[in-house]
Amino acid sequence: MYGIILRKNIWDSSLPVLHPQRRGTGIFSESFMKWVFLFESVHRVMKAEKLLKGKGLKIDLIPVPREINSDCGVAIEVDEAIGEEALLLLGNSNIGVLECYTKNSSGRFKRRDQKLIDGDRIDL
Amino acid sequence: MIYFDNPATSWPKPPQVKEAMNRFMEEVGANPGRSGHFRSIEAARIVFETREALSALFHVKDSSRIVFTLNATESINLALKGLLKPGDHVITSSMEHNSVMRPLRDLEKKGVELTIIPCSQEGMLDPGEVERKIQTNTRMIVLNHASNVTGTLLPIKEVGKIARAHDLLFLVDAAQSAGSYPLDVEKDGIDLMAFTGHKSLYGPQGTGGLVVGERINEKEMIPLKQGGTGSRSEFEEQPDFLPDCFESGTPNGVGLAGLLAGVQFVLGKGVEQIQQNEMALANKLIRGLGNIPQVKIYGPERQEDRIATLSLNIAHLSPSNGALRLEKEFGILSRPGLHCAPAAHHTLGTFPEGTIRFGLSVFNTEAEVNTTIQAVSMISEK
Repeated sequence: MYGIILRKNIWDSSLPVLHPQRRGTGIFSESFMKWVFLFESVHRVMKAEKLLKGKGLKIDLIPVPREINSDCGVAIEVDEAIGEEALLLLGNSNIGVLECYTKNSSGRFKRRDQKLIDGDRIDL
Repeated sequence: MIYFDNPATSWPKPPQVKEAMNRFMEEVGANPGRSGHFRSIEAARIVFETREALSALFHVKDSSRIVFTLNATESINLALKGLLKPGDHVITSSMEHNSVMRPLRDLEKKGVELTIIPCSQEGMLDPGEVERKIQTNTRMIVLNHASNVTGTLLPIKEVGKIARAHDLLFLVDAAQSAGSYPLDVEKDGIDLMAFTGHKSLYGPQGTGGLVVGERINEKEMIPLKQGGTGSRSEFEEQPDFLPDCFESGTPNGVGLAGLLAGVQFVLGKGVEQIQQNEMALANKLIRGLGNIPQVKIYGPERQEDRIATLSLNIAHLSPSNGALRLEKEFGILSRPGLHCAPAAHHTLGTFPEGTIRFGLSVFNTEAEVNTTIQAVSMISEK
């Protein structure tokens, strides 16, 4: 399984640095809650990455967290601020998000609303 | 040196193909999509973009329906052995390459019924003949789009319509035409299309694929092999979704990096433009060779019925001697013999000696064509 994650490293330098503003990040809009998207195959992750980056969203590809899935490969992580937007974009495409989790600053995962999930696919 | 062995494998490749492969070896190098690090991701991106580029080229809506294989032969084996069962009837032509004939003959021994439609001496196929041979148990029609011996184009659009009308599967071997002749999987009525990366797509050897059309239920198609796919890793059963179900083990990442560059080269030039350029040269070559009394050229008369490949024989000279003299005296590289297509040579009447084959690519020039006409003329004289 694979996913998309948007995350700012909480151990980044504490000195304020002027970053170009990108949707989902920023010194003052930084959030420690992340959304993690898992997909059926790496093909779908690549498709999702192309879609979300094409819309200007900042995403991270991270190894699939072992806490939630034992699959190989990558997951996509996004900042909470753009979580809904990412989910909607992915839902309106035919990419098929397999599972969606939130992750808090302690690294605890929580599976998102079950009603979003239809069998093995999330139909949104 | 004049390279006319492009139907076997194209040479040279565009420089960006070598660059892409070098870059992969130096900067990427990882197993695509298996691990979570940036190199594995970059490798996965390259594989994905190759699928996307091929989707654009063949007008495939969903790039996950392009499965990568070692070559067109593997693609054809996957399609035939994945879908045909004992008791099924298959229709094919008498101009097929052994990549189609050998698996079909093997399946025939295992209970698949086979009908081979005879083509004309020019290698042409009458679609009506195909329709007349359809039976209640007919499952599939298999045709090569363009003959690797004579360059003859088979009427895949017409046969595609017939296949749809009778609810049959249509497998097209596009090894010789993908990249140099416009192909649209949907409009041409193609259910399965085997292609290779190292001919008119200008990629390296070791790349190829199968387009699995929307009418195919991949869950009912048996893979050639099972293994690790980087997906559903907690299960010991093969996944049943595309493309993973038919792609087990580490893919040819470096090869696909090269293939991506090759496909982008073709897309950049445009298939129609490539076809036009190649055919202009091929026609010159055919006309020039046709003026030499001792030369016989095989294949169709009309330009519209062929790709830029042709077979010839020179009177009183065996194909192998002719090809050897062309190489040693003039540096012209061609392929003599049966071209792994004994069926085609039976159809042409050139079995068992075969023919000399010339095939052009986008890199051949008018000067090379002129030199070749003179060379053939000189070795034709007793």
